[in-house]
Amino acid sequence: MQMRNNDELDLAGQDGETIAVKITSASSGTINNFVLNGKPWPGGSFALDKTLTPVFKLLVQTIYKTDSGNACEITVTGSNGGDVSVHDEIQAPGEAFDAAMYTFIVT
Amino acid sequence: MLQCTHSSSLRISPAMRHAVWLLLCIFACQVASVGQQAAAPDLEAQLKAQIAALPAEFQRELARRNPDIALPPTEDNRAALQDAIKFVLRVRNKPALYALALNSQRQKTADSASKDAVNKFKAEVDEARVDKQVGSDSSQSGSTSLTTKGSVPAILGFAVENGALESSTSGTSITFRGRPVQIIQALQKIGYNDSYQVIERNSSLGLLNRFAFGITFDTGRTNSTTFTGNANQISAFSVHVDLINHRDPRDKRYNDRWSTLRLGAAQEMANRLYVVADLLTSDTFTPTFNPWLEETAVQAATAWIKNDGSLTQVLETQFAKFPSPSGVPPSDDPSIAAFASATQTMLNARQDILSYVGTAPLVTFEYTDNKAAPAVAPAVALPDTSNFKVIAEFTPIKGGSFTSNGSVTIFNSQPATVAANRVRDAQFSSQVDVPVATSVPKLGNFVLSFSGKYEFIPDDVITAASATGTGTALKGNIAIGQAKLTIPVKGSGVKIPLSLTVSNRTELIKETNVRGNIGITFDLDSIVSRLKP
Repeated sequence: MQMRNNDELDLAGQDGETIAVKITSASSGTINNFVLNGKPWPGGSFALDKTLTPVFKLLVQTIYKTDSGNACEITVTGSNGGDVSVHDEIQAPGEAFDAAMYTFIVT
Repeated sequence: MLQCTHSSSLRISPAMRHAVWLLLCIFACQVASVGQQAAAPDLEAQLKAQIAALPAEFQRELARRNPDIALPPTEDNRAALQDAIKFVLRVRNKPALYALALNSQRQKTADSASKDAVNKFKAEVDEARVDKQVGSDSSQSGSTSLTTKGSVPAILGFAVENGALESSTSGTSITFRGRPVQIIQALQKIGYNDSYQVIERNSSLGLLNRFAFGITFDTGRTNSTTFTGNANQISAFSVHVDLINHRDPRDKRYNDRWSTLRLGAAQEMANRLYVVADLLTSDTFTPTFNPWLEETAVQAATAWIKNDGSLTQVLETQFAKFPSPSGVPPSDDPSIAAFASATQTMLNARQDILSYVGTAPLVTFEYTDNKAAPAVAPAVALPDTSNFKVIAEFTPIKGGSFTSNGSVTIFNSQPATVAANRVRDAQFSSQVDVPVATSVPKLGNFVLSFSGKYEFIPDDVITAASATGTGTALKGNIAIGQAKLTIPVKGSGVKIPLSLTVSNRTELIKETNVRGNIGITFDLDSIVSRLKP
């Protein structure tokens, strides 16, 4: 898996490569939801499949339990090695939720 | 330096008494709207919060890319600033923010009346909290609190109160209360937000953070009524321990509720957000998005370089004209409406959990060492006293609270005269606090409190009768009732308590007593969370 444009959310992986998504660091004040290619996804890993779509899209949503002081770190890796994507969500005061949209171009 | 004015007497005339009762009754009539205190944040508030956070994100990104650039930046740094701004504002990084901005445009064309109705009841949640004891307890000269609350400010609060409740003297006391762990963290420049994470990761710190302290100064104990912080003005020192406190939403006992939210309303919101984010990240939107991003980066960089505090305003203006990714106005885009509906549902469900957490019982223990005022001849020196108090609090009504105190006070040493018993008194009190929704500009929700207190004095005991003189507290039973109105000044952490107290007697005089008290309390948490997030 490679990062494009030095952007941890803009990724490219080989057809058949397994992508693992982990919440690697989080306070107990966060909960996460995932939507992969428009469907609810429980988290874990998935395989890139060019026959399904040339671009996979993954939304990671973070809900904060309190009004301040929470954060979470999302790490994405590919089974074929390459770059490791690390993205941080840091709560701003009064912020109840945030989200990030990953795109994976299947090569 | 803080200055306090001393008032020698606050006894109230019958006409004034009736006027104050009438005022309290008028506010009591508005109690029906109490539930609105816990209204969920609306989407416009979320948009403002996310935009307000952007300057800090720009700064972090700039530091990551160009650690050598000194702040505030100059015109020479413009290219670097614009690159950092554009990176933070890329659509993949901010789909929720852009969806909120599009919904804001949609709402502006919708019926504005419904939006106004939501904003009208938007809560200033921390300021409306009724469970924090900022001032001194009722034994202190000048206190406006008959019953002690279970919580204390996380960092530091202080209170200036004038009048008296149990004692037959009036005076001015200043109380500082705070949690040492978080005060030290604040001094170490650990942000308010980060402090909770540090405490959460370290169980020893978590245990220590159950402790709080309080110091009360009585400015009437020196020749000048000015607060000097001099040791001679210290009238009490207290230690507060949380025995049972499950009012943190991150407590494991609430995991099931959060799990239900995650699987239900939060997943539905994510599904709806994905639809908008999918449009935002589509290639067809790029030609529309890029000019907006370029313009926003230029405008934001200019405001950043100016360093005149206009950056957030510039961003709000830019987000108000964020282009629609669907090609139709946001008001005609069903995906934006669906996102807004699902998000509000999630926010309401989240608020329901927070409201439930706010009703968790609270039990604390407080020890107070009351320092007797120095004696002036021919007065007899009084012994110091120790007060042991258990405070229990729960929430029978939404947004309000019910608090009970039970305490015993003993003399630290045998009094030289009069008293034959080391036990000075035993007390029990209860208080109900009811938030009252108001629409007064610059003021938050008022809190109306009613409390009752019973005190038993087993023997005649020597006690303070003036700032430096003594008298005899007469054996017997004292019953005290109080009505109090607390007026918060919105956004300042300042609250003004105004109370009327009636008792069957005082400790010194066996006749009915009516008193009025006014004070001011200041909670540093509200300020620090804004200045140093």
